[in-house]
Amino acid sequence: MDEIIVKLEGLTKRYDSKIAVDFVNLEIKKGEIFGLLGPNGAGKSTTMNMICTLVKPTSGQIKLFGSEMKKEERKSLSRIGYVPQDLAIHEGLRAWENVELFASLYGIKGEELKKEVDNSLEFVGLLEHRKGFPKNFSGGMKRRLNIACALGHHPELLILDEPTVGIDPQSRNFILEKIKYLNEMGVTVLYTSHYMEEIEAICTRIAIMDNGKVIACGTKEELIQLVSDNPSNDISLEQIFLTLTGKKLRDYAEGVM
Amino acid sequence: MLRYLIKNNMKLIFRGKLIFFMMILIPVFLISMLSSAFDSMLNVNYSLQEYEVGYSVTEDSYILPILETVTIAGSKNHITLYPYSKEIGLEKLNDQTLDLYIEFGTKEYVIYQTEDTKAATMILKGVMSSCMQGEPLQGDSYLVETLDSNPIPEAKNYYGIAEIVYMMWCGIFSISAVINSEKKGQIRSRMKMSPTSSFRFYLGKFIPCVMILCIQMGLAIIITSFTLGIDWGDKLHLSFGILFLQAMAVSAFSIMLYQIFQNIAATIVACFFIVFSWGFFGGAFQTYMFATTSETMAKLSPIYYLNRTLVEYSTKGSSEYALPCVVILSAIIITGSMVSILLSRFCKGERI
Repeated sequence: MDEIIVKLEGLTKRYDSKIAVDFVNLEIKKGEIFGLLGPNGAGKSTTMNMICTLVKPTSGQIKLFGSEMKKEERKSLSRIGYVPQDLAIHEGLRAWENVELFASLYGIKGEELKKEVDNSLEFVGLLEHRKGFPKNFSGGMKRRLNIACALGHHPELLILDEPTVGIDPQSRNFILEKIKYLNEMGVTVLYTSHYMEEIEAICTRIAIMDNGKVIACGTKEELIQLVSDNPSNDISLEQIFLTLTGKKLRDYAEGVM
Repeated sequence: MLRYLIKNNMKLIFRGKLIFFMMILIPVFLISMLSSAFDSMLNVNYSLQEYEVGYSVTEDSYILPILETVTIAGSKNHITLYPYSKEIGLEKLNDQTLDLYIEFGTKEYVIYQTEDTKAATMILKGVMSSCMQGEPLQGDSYLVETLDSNPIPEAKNYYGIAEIVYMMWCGIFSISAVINSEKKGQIRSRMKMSPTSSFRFYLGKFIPCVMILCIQMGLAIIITSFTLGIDWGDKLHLSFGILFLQAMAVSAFSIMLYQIFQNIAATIVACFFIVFSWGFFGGAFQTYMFATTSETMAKLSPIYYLNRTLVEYSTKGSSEYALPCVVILSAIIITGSMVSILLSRFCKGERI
């Protein structure tokens, strides 16, 4: 039986009268690249933030690596790497200093830390720019450094929240290749993106959220079956997504239903 | 892991060169400006002027037996007596080359003074009254008592110390480079995602802030000592011990304010308002500068104890304000640290 890395049971988040996440049940197995899809305001980021302990659930339970999150929070967090949607790097620190700082927060030190800094920078193709300041980097380089900062402590679960926003196709392709490589090395990945082709290209299973609920979950083939009687139909993920969530615009403001 | 947090936070502070040097140069500028601007104001009530007094005595005057005694007592009180005829004496008084003229008659005396020399009249009358008790007074049969009083600091030394104390309370500037950098993007989310405790994150800001403040104020003290000749007295180890404790209190206080407001601009405004109030009520060493300030309000200000302790260490090497000063600074360190850690722990999603 596959080991369950992330298990959400009846996870709910309520802001006053608004329900951002409504009784979500999900399981992410070891070795998966799990894609979380949904229109703006569907509850993807809130769900991810609850897994990352950045937002406190109103009710429900999160189990990470088989343990209840509340009980083993620190231990669980040390096994997770987080790549937030907005850049999380100090502009005033050099590339290697950024990786060093964030890796050191996980207890890595000394020679091991130096090695991990170089390995992480090399992995994202920034070793030769290790002494550069992020303020002088291109958008793609910053995104890669953002990822490198989450790798120094060898996470078993990597959570990536739209890591390819605003970068050129070459950088995007490079990042996707690296995510696939990490997954081959045994890292479980939870991935969100608005780019359907990215999800389609790398994710083994996909959950589609709308209005705070998971409305569909499975492999691409399983999702096709939900919208078409013929599984052999060549339906893109975008078509599935629009069929399930509708074509209505989702202009959304915080705190407004 | 704390070592790397401290090291990188210090790098962020050092790389913000403008704020770093501003914290060194502003006190130097303020000290040189204030010490020269308020030099006369600081000393006006305390320096006793030398007065020259002319006199004449009739041959049968009651004063003759004790005239020598009056002359000696006068000189001890900065009054020098010169014999002049009344005509010349009054002329000199008019020209302001004499401060007073006194005409001793048979059983009475008349003092001639001007508007500017009333203080000399008061002193002279005090001397006369002391000397004439138990008439006739002989030699040392009278007593002019000299009271011990606190030595008054020179303006440059006073402001040299007070402005260092005041500027150090603005230590929020020193740590603002770290706070501003952490606010950008989702750095705080990433930090919170790590297994590092709130206490370590607190120390990661507290220790660099203390170290940077010590470096900045240390440099300001060295510069003002060499350029303006500020004298911190002989008990340097005690003075610097108090300043180190203040650096810790300032760091804890600044971080606590930031944890409360979660906005660097609001924190700076609040910090300046509080420190200005402390300085206004309790900062002035001499209450004549703020005659209406209540003593109770002054004693609520940590600056009241800090200024007095450090200035008295400079002038007389000891201070009865030292103990309350240490207690108050320790209380600020403990309270500030606890509030900061509790706020960051219980509001984890928002604060680091």
